[in-house]
Amino acid sequence: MKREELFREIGSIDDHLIEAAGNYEKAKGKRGISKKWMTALVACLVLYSSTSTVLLATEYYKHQSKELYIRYLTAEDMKLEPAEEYDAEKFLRALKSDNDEHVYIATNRLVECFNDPKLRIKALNELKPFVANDNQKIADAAAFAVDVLSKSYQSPYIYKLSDGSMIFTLFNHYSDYGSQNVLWRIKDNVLKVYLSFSEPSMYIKELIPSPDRKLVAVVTCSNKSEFIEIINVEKGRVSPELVESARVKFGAQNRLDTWIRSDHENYSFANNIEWKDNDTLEFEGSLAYQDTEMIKNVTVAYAFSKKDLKVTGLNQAKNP
Amino acid sequence: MEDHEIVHLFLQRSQRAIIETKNKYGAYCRVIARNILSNDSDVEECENDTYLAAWEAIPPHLPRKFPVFLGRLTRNIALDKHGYNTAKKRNREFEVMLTELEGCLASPRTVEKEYEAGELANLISQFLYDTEVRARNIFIRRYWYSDSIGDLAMRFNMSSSKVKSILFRTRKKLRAYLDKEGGYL
Repeated sequence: MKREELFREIGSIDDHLIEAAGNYEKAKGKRGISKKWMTALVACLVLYSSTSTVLLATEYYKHQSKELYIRYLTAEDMKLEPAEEYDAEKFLRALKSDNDEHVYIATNRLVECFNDPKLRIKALNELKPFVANDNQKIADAAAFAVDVLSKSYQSPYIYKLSDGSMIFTLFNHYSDYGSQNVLWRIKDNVLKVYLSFSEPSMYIKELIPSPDRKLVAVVTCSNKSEFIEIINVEKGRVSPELVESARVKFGAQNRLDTWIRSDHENYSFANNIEWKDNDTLEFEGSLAYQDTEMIKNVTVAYAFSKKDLKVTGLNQAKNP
Repeated sequence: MEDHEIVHLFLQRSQRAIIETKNKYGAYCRVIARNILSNDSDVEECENDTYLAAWEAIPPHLPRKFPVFLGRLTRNIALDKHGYNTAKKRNREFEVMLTELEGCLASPRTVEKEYEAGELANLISQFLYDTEVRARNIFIRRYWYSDSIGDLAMRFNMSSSKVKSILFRTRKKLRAYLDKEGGYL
């Protein structure tokens, strides 16, 4: 017989027994305070409580204006007024500078004029000559800025998504490692920062939309590590970071020493990143363990909607 | 409303029977269900299933003690739900209680005797009638109402260890009694 069956059988014991146990008073036989005294005590407590509450409330409101209360400190709060605002004129002036770096930065930053019709036209006219600049980086940046500001959206760096919005990065491939770690989005003809990354995701290396363009795999990196996140831009959902997740999962599966560093560098990399279908991203991972003493090559598959991460060893024979 | 009036509403197939039952015994059923289940939505579902089961049972069944009848329904429905839930979702306190009952079961080496439905319950009732009142009530509150050890300690004004010790002794006696009466478990 199972314990559950015994429990069920006990359920069928005589009604009188159950009723008697049900009516058994709490703490029967315990000497308590008489009802009269209890009533008096409760009355005193109520009186004391209400008086003290009123006094406390009065004191609170008296001092409320003097109290320092900060619910949440934003970066803007920390800067104090006047807050730093986007200064298009500063960047337009910088275009006339002899310093190529300043010109390059200004060219990219002028894309931010997009939402102001007058400034947009002005920036567009000022930027057009730079498309033929001798410096290839400046010329490419100007071509991209002109493409966005003229709303032609022909650049291969602009990713058109299924919801009609577009995402892109500025400072495209400014470094060997990638582009600026800020993701911009134009939706309903309005340009906004969609997502920005912090260290160690110092660069956006690649944006890879799913075949149906509902999801985007964002590959970010530092000079030591690579990271991948999948974003459903329309719904605002982001997957866990996949390279580190794969490293931790594979480490746990194979009982490897898997420390997470305080700077979140994982010394791991992803190759051959591709969408297997509209929901599943697959890549080959090169995962580091024991301070890079051990490198494990794996295949990682992540199904976004199921949140299912599969990590399998690849060519394990090659690894010591 | 008196219990016999509620039962009468059930017999008349009046929808008010459910409302009156819920008003009078809703909290009672929820307590029993909550002692077995851990999830609030399961408890709520169990309470509603109890009303439905009562609606289907009366008539032809005519409960002599309406709260015991409802409690029994709640208990059985909650137990079914508990069995259906995965281990992760189960009420741990109730699992502990079931584990305690294992002490009353025979060892796997003995041959179990088949028994008629209700026959074992009659034997347990007989045993409980012969047991000292306080130990009997503690046993029933623990294994029928599924009260926690803490609640029992408070209700019976004694320490938790004392409650555990009384329950242990009662289970041991029950095991011996059932062995003597025919090796039921």
